[in-house]
Amino acid sequence: MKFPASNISGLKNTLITFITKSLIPLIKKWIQNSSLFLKRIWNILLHGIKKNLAYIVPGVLTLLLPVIIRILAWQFDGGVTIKKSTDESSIQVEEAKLNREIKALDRKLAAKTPRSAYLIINSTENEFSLYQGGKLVRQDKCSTGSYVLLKNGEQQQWMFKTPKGEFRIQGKTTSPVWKKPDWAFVEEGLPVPGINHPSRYEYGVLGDYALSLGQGYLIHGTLYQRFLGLPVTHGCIRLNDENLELVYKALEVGSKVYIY
Amino acid sequence: MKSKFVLLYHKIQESGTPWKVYMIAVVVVFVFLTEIAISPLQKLNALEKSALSDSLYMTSFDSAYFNPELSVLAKEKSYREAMLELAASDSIQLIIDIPDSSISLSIKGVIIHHSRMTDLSIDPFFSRITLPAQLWIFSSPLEILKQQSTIIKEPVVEREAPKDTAEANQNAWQPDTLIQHPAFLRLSTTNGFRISVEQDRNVTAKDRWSRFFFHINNQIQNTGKAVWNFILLRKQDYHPEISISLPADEIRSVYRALPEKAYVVIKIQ
Repeated sequence: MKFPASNISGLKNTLITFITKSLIPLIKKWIQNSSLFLKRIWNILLHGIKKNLAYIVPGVLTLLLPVIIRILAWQFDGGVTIKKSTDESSIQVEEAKLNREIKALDRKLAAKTPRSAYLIINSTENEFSLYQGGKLVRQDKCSTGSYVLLKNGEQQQWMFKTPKGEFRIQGKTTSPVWKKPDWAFVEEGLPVPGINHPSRYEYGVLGDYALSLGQGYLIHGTLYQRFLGLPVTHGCIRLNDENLELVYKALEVGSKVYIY
Repeated sequence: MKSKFVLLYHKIQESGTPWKVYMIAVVVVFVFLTEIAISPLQKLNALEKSALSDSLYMTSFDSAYFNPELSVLAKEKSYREAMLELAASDSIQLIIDIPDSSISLSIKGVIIHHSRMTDLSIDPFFSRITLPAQLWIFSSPLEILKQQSTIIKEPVVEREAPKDTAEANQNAWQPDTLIQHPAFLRLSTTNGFRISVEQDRNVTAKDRWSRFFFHINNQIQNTGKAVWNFILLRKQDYHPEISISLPADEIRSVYRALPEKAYVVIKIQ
């Protein structure tokens, strides 16, 4: 629908007239009224305070006195009864002793960090960090458990979450074959086959390598690389091909994996 | 002014309520507020008494530690002792390093997560704790007794198994756990300390409302507890707080990593 040019200029003029003659005076009046209203409120408030000063003073004092007491109380030191030593030689001896103890504790703490390669998985951010010789070698995206609770009626349910804590690499395999567990069939709406049925075996879906963390949890590759960085797995840890190879080569059986 | 007080007195008399009732109300409010006001001092004294009464600890405490240089070393030592004790645990634990402005997660002595605080404020109470009490408190990990958060600990999504392949294909799901709630966290530890961790950026109205409700909820709980303690003639609790700001995703990582029974090591300046 098109309007003729004369109609548009007419509409513009009407709009300008409306703004200048109606809207602006209305806003001015509203501002005036508002300021008057605020002034009235202020006057009422002042009048109220003056009239009820006898109530307000004890009230304010009741509220303020405890604060004053707290401020005064803080000025008093607890008063430690231990005798303070000022003997220079004993201070030096104690300083040397403390330094020795700190070094010993540092050594004990440092011994807790693995010297060989280890992997840290952040399952909230879906990120992994590979450390070798105490240095960060690679930090990149991975995929961890989806937190999906799959229910198959009342009897069966599976929680797809990545466990947290300290783990060790239990085994390493190349060209792994995935033996599909029951939930993989249930999730696809398929009947669950026998325990060694050929349909349970899938080739090439786990990438070129797999590292076992025990209890069926693996670090493996994925066909769904676009989901890396998202919580989409059934509890395993998925890496892209390049990272998987790096992790596979860096970690030995027994290497530590920390998942949080 | 005097005439006004006289007027007030007459007004009270005229209202039929005995003036004693008003006076008692004022005294009750005053006593209640005074109790709250002096509660930090009471707590400070209680902590110090506990430290001094621990004879085993006091035998290892040397008065030379009061020397400023030695006190720094003594605090470093107590921090490491706490870290070593923490390392004995199998589960993921928290480390708060105030001088370094950092917060870390550790498991069996290995630091697995480290984040820098964007903002930090500490209750002046902590600087008032005397050295013997400070070393006594912070040379061991503190148990986290309560964890309150706006974050869902385990974002579980329940799904019914499809009846057939057609239904399975229909329900081919997309990851949906990217919807994140604003991140606010409060940890209550032994000795009544509180660690409040909040996201450093509150951009949306939802963030600001979440923050407001998270804090107001705490205030209401505290006030309710204070009134209840007052009614039951109990000593008022005081909860010195360490407030930390972190990026929201860091808070999520920390909170979701913490087990139900978690411990925290705090390094105080």
